[in-house]
Amino acid sequence: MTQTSFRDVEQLSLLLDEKLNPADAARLEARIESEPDLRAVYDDLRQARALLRRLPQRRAPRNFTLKPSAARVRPPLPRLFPTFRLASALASLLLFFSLATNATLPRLVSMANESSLYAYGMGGGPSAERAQGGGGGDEDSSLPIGGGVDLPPSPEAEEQAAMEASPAEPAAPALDEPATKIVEPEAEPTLQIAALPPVEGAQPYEEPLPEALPEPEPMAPPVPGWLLILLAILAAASGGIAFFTRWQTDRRWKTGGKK
Amino acid sequence: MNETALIQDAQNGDLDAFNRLVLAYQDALYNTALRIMGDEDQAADATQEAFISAFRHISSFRGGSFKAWLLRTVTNACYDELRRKQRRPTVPLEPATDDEEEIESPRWLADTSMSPEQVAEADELEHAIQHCLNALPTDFRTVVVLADIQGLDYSEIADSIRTPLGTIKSRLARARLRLRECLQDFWELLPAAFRLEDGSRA
Repeated sequence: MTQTSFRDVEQLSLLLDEKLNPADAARLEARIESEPDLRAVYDDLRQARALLRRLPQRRAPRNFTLKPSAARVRPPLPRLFPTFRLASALASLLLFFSLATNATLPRLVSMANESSLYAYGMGGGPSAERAQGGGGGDEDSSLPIGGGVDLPPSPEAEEQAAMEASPAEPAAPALDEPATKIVEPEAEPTLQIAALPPVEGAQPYEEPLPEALPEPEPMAPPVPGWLLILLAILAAASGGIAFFTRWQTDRRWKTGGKK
Repeated sequence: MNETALIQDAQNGDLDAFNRLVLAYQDALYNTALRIMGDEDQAADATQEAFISAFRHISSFRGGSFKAWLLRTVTNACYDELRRKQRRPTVPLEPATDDEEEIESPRWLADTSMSPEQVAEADELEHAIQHCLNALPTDFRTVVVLADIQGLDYSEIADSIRTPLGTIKSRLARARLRLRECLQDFWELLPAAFRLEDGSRA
């Protein structure tokens, strides 16, 4: 046995079961006749198989037939069950998305409004300060800021000052007179536009105040409440009907038979 | 019994038709499970599980040998049970010595310490063979049970346990060889008919 290769053992097993082709079987049988070791192995295999075949067949200790409960056989579904189940599922899904939309969309819209207001305030408003920007000044720090030079008043200027001093007689602006005069810097070292005599009927310039934007009105929920209620009722009712028909069929199937 | 018609009815959910098939094959499945498991209760459980599984998956039966298909389900059920046993090992069947060491020799079956009732009830040949079967690796045991006890063809075995044909041939040869070596230890237990058969070979 120990001198027999496993290949030979396998061939012997196949010979035993008549699974070898005739040519191979004839060759192996010839070897069995001439090789005692091979014959011993062949006999061993044959006897082992014979013993197994002698093994008595036991009868099953009980019947293994299945009951519907053991087989977990479900009764047939009611005909309308899938329809109601689908309706319930769809209504629930729609209800969920409607609620989600109502909860998130107004918030998103208000956030979008806030961001547009912020953008307006940053760059849109007129700036009076920028418009009243001063001119250049002399590098000489001893001179007053504003670029002017203190000059002794000319006789024309003195006369003009006198005329301005009398409020009773507002004079028409003289075009040939200098339009500006140098003013002493006081608190703010900027070049001031010389106060021209007020034009009759002209309104003094007033810095425009930023226009107050209206408060955004809260957005109405996109999905109306009545639709939400309708969807909820539809989901609950169709789900209930589906459950009830299934339960009724189960009950009838259990009490009345399998089919 | 028109087996094909019963199978078709069972595939349409007819439990009565399936139960007629159960009655026809329950002995074969139980015996297969018994030889693979080596325990009657576990074999009965595996057989029941196999029939339940077979009914649930009968729509996957695409023709061929229905017996081989059923034997595959019972083999799978046995494998599942054996895996469960491996995860939760129980007390070994082998008796222990005074030193609490397990006796590895299969001769314990002939131990006179067995009660007379046990000895009387035991079918010696069956016990010897079963013991030797239990000593085989599960894969070898399954192949030899399906081939030599259930009489399945090689291709049916290959289909049943989804194993290549070449592997089946190899396992069967090895299993038979090991069985013969094991059974030689029970020479005196073997029935006279076998001893005569054995003696006739020389």
